[in-house]
Amino acid sequence: MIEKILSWYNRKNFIPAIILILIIIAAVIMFMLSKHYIIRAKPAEIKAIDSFAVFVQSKKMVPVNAGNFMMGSNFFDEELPIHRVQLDTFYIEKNEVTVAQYRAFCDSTHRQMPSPPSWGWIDNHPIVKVSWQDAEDYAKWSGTRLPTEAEWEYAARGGRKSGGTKYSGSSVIGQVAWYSENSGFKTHPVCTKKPNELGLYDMSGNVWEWCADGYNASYDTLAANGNIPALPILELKVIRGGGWFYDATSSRAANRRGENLLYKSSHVGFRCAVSRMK
Amino acid sequence: MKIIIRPRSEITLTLSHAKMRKLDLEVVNVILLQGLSSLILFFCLCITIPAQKEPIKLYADFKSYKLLAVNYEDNKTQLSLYQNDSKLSDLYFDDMIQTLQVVDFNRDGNPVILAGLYSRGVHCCFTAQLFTVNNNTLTLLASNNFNNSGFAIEDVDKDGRMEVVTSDDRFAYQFGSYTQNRFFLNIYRWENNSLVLANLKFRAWVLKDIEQLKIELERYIENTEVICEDEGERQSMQAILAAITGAYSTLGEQQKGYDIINRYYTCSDKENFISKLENLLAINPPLEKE
Repeated sequence: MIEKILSWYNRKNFIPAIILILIIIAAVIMFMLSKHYIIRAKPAEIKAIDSFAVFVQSKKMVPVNAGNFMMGSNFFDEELPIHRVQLDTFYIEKNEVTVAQYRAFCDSTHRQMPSPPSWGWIDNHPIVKVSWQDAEDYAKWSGTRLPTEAEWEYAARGGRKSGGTKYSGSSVIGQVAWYSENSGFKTHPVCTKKPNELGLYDMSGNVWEWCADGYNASYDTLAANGNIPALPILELKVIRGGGWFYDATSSRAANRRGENLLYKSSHVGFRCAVSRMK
Repeated sequence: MKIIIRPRSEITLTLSHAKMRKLDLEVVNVILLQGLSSLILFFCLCITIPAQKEPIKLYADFKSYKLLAVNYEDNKTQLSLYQNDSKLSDLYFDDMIQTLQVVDFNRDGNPVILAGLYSRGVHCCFTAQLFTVNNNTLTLLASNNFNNSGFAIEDVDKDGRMEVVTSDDRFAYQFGSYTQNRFFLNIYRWENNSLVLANLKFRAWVLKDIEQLKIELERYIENTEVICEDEGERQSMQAILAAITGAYSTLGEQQKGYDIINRYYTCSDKENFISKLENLLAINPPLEKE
């Protein structure tokens, strides 16, 4: 092609040579533009296909890959028997639901905020004084759900990335938890301690967290499927993780407590989870 | 028409068949009711007449010996030591022996005889007496009075050694009624022929006990003003706070309990409460050396 242009040039036949050069330049520009459009189109295409991924990202949720683990411990009777639990992949919020997040829910649904704790409402602290039912309502409103007790413990232990630490993310309680010895009798802003292996904050300490399951003081009757809340009709619900008023023992990943679903306290909050629809 | 009510066999009437059947049913009902009430009376009679009971007997094997505890009805208890069907010695107790066990606490092949004594009463008192056999005689090694608290032998931390699990009842009747007061966990180990308080070695279990007390306290924390006005509620809150402080004191961390009291107990009798609690914890302080 270059030889042809040069022969036209030598014969002083400029017009075909210029036309050909312009055609080449136009082709290059078109090629570059088309590439640019393809790149721009790609994210839109992903967005349309995987709105779930966008959803969990917007909720600051962390994936917990499917797996199984030994749930419970031989420390206390209510943590026995240690048993194998199978879980599908799910997503869980990296932080406890905050005062600001809960206020948005109240504003949107014309609910009253709970009465404030003695330290008042601070936007980036975990919400407290919410019943299990309040937590359920919030979760539904936000398109999520409460985690099952098995999901909660699996996530607290770090899922497949578990380092086998005593508390969620460390065996040194003060690194990961706001608890009786460092809290000063109040909650603290979420995500200010070290996260666990999955990037989850405050699974140990700050506030106890509501789970979806009913509470039985042993695992004797429970199935090995951790995806479904156990004993859902019980009024006594599981809360996990310990809190600002409690000692280190309460913040162990296996520690359990049961409370009536209407119970509201400045010690209890929650976080949400979600699973991809099959 | 004249009806004469007599015992059934004597009823002689000139009634129609239908009326006769109705009368029959009434008589049957009367007889059933009489029978039932007689049975009830008989049952009441039976349970009110004191029956001659067999004394409660407990047995245990200790090395080549056999032990027999007999709790007689006259509030006397006899503990006898046998070998080859021959009685070697006797011990007598005013308290009843509720349990008789041979326990190798430390799995070292040196078991001891543990008699769980109960003084007979509504609550009090439980005592653990530990014996061995020397020269064919039962010899007392240790006696621990647990007052209102019973005790159990458990391998708490699943390490193969057995512990005595009980509770400290020093606050019984101190803050309101017996039922308002809380006991706190004590775990003993068998060391050098005595039961030694070992809460420091079982810190996690003590903290779990404190967790339960704190869960109870949660309900009071946000309503202290209301609670101060109600004597019963105030005493219950004091009882829980005292037990938390007592439990922490077994770990040498009683200041944590006082910090909670200072933070959450706002009633006007706060100083008296703290002073009383300090005095109660000063008597036989539960903390032992680790």
